[in-house]
Amino acid sequence: MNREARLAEVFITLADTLTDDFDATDLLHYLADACVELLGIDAAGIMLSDLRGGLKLAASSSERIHNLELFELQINEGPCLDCFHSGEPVLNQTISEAKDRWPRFVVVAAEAGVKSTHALPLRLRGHVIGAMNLCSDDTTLMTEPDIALGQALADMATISLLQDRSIAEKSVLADQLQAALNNRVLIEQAKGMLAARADITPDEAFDLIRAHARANNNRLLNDAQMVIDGTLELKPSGVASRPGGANL
Amino acid sequence: MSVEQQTAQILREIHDTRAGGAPADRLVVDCCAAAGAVGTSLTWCAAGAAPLTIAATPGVGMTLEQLSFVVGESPQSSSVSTNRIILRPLLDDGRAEWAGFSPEALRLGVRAVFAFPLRLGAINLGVLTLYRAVPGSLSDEQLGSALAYTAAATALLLDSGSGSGSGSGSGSGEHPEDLPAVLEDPFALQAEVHQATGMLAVQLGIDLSAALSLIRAHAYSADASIDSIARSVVARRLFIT
Repeated sequence: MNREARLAEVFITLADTLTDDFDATDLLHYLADACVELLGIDAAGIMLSDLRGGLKLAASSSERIHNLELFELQINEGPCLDCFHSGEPVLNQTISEAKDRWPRFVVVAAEAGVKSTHALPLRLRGHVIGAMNLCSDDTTLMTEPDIALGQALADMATISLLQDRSIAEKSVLADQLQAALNNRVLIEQAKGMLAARADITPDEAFDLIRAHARANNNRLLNDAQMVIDGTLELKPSGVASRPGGANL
Repeated sequence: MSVEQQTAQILREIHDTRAGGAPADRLVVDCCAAAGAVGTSLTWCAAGAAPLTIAATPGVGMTLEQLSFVVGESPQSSSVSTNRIILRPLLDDGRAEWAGFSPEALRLGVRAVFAFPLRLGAINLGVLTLYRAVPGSLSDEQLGSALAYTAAATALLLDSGSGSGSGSGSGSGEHPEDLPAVLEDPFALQAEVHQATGMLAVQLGIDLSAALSLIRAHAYSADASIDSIARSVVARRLFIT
C-alpha cells in the first residue's frame, strides 16, 4: 500500500468511532502506533488530562516509552507536561541540549536511548485534554509536514475520543476522560491476573491479550474484561513445548 | 489546589475524630455543601450482593436513596449498570427516565441529579449521588469537588475492608496511626498497583477489590507506600497472604 492510501486508511480508522463498540483505549493505542509508523519517530506515548489537575498515561507504543512517561509524571517534568500546560507543541528538543529545561527527565530519556523528543497537544475547542509525546532515537529534526500530520492525527483522535460533537460541558468531558482512564486501569488488572495465571510478567501478559484481540478483531477492552471474568484463557506461545505447561 | 490534594484533605477531615460522627456520614454532608446540593447519598454495591446505603444526608438524600431501592430504576442503578457518570442537569426534561423515581424527586423539589460511580477498572464499589434543587450543570469548581469526594468515597469503601476483613488498615480511622496512608487517593495509583491487584486476586482466589484492600492494608502495616508494595508484588519479591 502506498503512503497516501495508508494515510487515508489511518484517518478513516481514527474517525470510525460511531459504533456501539467504540473503545477509547484501542483508539489511543492505534494512534500511538500510527505515529511511529508515519512520522519518522521511534516511540509515542499519549497522556490524558484527569480533569483533576494532572495527567495520566493512556497509551504507549512500547514498554520503553511507557516507563519514560511514567517517570515524567512522577517527577512532574518533561515535554508532555510542558505541552499540556501551555497547550502549544514542544518541537525538536534534543535531549543533550535540554538539561536546563528538564534536568531530571533528560537523564532517564538518555538512558532509554532517546535522542530527541517532541510533544503535541490534544485539543478540543479551547480545552487541552492531553498531550502526545513523540521520541526519536536520533537527532534528525521532525519536518514541517510530519509535524502537521502528527497534529492532524492528534486532532482526529481527539474528536473521535469525545464522540459527541455537541460536548460543550466540562462534566461530559469528565465522564469521557474518566471512562478512558478507567479502561486503562481495567487492562492493568487483566495483565496482573493473566501474569499470575500463566506465570509470566505483566508486559508479556499485555502482549498476549493484545495479540489475541488483534488476531480475532476484538476490542482490547473486551478481551481484558474476559480475562478478568475468567472466560478467556490465554497461554504464552511455545508453552506446549515446556514441560508441565503453563501454571494455571 | 489540585483535586488530588483536595481528596487528601477531604479524607483527613472526615477521619478527624475530634469532630465526631462516622467518616461516611461526614463525607455525604460535606460533599452536599461543596456541590451546592440539597441531598447526597453513598451506596455500596458489593459484587453479587444487594446495594446497601452507607450514608445519606437527612431529608431528601435519605428519602430518595431509599426510594431508589424500592423502584429499581434510579440514577444509582443507571450509574452502576453503565459504569458511567450520570448527568441530568434538567431532571424534568420529559424523557420519563426512571419512571418510579423522577416524579417523586421532582415532588421533593429536586431539579438536577448527578451520580458518580466509585470504580477502579473492573472494581465497582458503589455510587455517590447528588441531588440539586436548581436546574443546570455543576460549575467547574463543583465538578472538581464532586470528583474529589468520589475519590475519597472510593478510598473509604476500599479501606472499610470490603470482604478482606484482615489487615490493620481496615478500621477506617479508628487508629490514628493509619491516617497518612488512608489519605492516598485511589485514583492516583500507578499501573503496578492495578497489576499487583490482579496478580493477588488470582493467587489468593479473592475478588479484585479485596485484593486491592489487602495491598493497601499491607502498605499501612509495613509503613511503605502502596506503589512500592505493588512493585514488589509484581516483581514476585513479595507474597502477601
